[in-house]
Amino acid sequence: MNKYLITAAFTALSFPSFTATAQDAACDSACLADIARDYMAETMRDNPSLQAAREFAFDVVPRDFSMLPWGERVRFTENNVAMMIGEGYWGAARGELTELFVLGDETTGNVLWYGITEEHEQAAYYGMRLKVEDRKITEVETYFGREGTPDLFANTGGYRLDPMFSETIPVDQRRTRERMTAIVNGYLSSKVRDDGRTLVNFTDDCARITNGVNVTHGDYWAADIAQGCRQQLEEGIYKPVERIRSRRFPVINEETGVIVALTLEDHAVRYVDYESTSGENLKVDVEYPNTRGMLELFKIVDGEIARIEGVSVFLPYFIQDLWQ
Amino acid sequence: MLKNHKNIAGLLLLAAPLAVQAQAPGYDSAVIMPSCDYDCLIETTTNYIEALENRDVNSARLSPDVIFIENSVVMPVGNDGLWGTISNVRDGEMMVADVETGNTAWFGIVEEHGNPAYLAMRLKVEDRLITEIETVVNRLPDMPKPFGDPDAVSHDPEFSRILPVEERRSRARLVTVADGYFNTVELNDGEVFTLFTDDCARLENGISTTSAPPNGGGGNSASIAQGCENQFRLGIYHINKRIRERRYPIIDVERGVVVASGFFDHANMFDRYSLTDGREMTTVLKWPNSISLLEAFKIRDGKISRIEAVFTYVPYFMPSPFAVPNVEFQTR
Repeated sequence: MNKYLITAAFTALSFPSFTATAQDAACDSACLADIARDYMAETMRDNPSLQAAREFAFDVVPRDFSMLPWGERVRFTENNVAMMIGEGYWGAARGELTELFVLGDETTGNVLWYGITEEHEQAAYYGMRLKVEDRKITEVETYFGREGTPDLFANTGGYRLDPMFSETIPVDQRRTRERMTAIVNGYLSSKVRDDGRTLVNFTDDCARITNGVNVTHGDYWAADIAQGCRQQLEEGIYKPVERIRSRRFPVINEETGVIVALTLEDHAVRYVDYESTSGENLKVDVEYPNTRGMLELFKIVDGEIARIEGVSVFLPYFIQDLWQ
Repeated sequence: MLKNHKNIAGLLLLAAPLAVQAQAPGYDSAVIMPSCDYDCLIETTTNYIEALENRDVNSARLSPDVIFIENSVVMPVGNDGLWGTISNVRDGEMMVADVETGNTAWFGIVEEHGNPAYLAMRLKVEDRLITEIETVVNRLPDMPKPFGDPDAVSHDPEFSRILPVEERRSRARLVTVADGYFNTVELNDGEVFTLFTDDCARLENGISTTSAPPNGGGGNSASIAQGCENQFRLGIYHINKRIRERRYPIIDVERGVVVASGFFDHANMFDRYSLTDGREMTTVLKWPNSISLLEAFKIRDGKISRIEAVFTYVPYFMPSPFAVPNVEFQTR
């Protein structure tokens, strides 16, 4: 009962208005962010249909999505599978939303919503890209870092995105969109069949966090071998990464140096044992072929990667990309 | 004279489409002469498995246009997926073949870098060459699912037993019975849409999920109720929102075996439900997921007597490249 009340209260507070500026053609970054927030609030909005689904264990219930500003033709994927709005997370969303970061890119019309959501009160890391055209949603691409899969997962309770992602950087330390894209591409290419040579620069304290797990520092196995973004690549830890394909960079902000990358990372696992560049004997974390669907936020300062945080989803090996 | 020629040409034009209409829909010829008989299909399947075990794709009898999928993903054949990891094929496989459709199935255990995995496979053979390879590979570690002891598992010999003529059923009826099974699983609420023998048993990923667990332990559906029909009467499998993209590519009338493929969608719009006897159940996973499977049914005298399945998790609602989507069905 309490949960119903909490959800209802959340709903009432989180519906500013979808149509306040609907007549304006352009949608700036604030407008994009509003639409992303409205979308997320709608996924969690309680209603009699969802209550009935839970109370009577029905799996097929009508739901009204008309409050959101939909384009004429909408594409929706969840963990790289195309489906109808209302399916997947839309049916299981119950609990609270924790917004960690929202970033709109008016150049591309894309907006990122990054945070933690809940399905039947079980928390998951969540990253979403919306494409907005004429103030209407035309594309929805979502990724979930859920507990209980072979992928990384840390308790969401202590997770907060590093504040540096919201900080603007001095003009002389900024880079163009094209250069930021090249830097992230260089990072991804360094990771593929990692042989110890890095094609990009990192700040000394660069860290990477995936599904809440700090993989470059602390007690994660890779951090035991080498600490830091550059140090791990120089050690050749990521040698088993067969390829990183379907690279897309839909949201970029030069003022904050933030760029969002969407990728599919293939682990062919043709071998399970390998050697690092310094001669350490290493083993792959999962001993069968798999692909990781990644939504990652990069912070780039003065041409160097300062931080990487995001969501990773464990997917069938070589899964087809639906967006390119 | 010229006028007569025109009339003949007109008659020929009319005759051409009529000849096409004389063809049974969906068939190229009114007589099907299989180029690969039962033994040939089994031998082709064995040859493929040997090529896979040896990681020697050139020795498999593949069509130049062969399509290979592993866990619902299309990939090049020969070096990716299981082809890139396999280290052994264990003895003790089960095979099924359908001369009419040219499809075969193989159920067994393989090893990848020494780690056992359950493999179910369908091959399509045309003109003695393999044109389609569809595989489900069930591996660990993964999300919670059955994974039987690979050293202890065996296939029920019932699947290979030839039925007396009076216990056989037509292809259409065999499919109806198997489809009724999926209709029963879908939204399972106690209603049963197919027939089971009293001794019906099911093996899933090497674990019997319908008979008493070893040592009396729980952990699967058999600890709640035993027997195929009893479990469905209780509504244990209520979490299956739909059984999607059902196909029945392999039917063996003599043995009464149907091999089906499809997806079980667990939408998880609810995480609690009641059995028909009032007992409360909670779902293990709280978020949407699907399982992809190949499932063999032994149907004796019109009743399902044995079921063996290999399945693995795939992202929720993931489709098969081989399935023709039925939009209305899929989006309800």
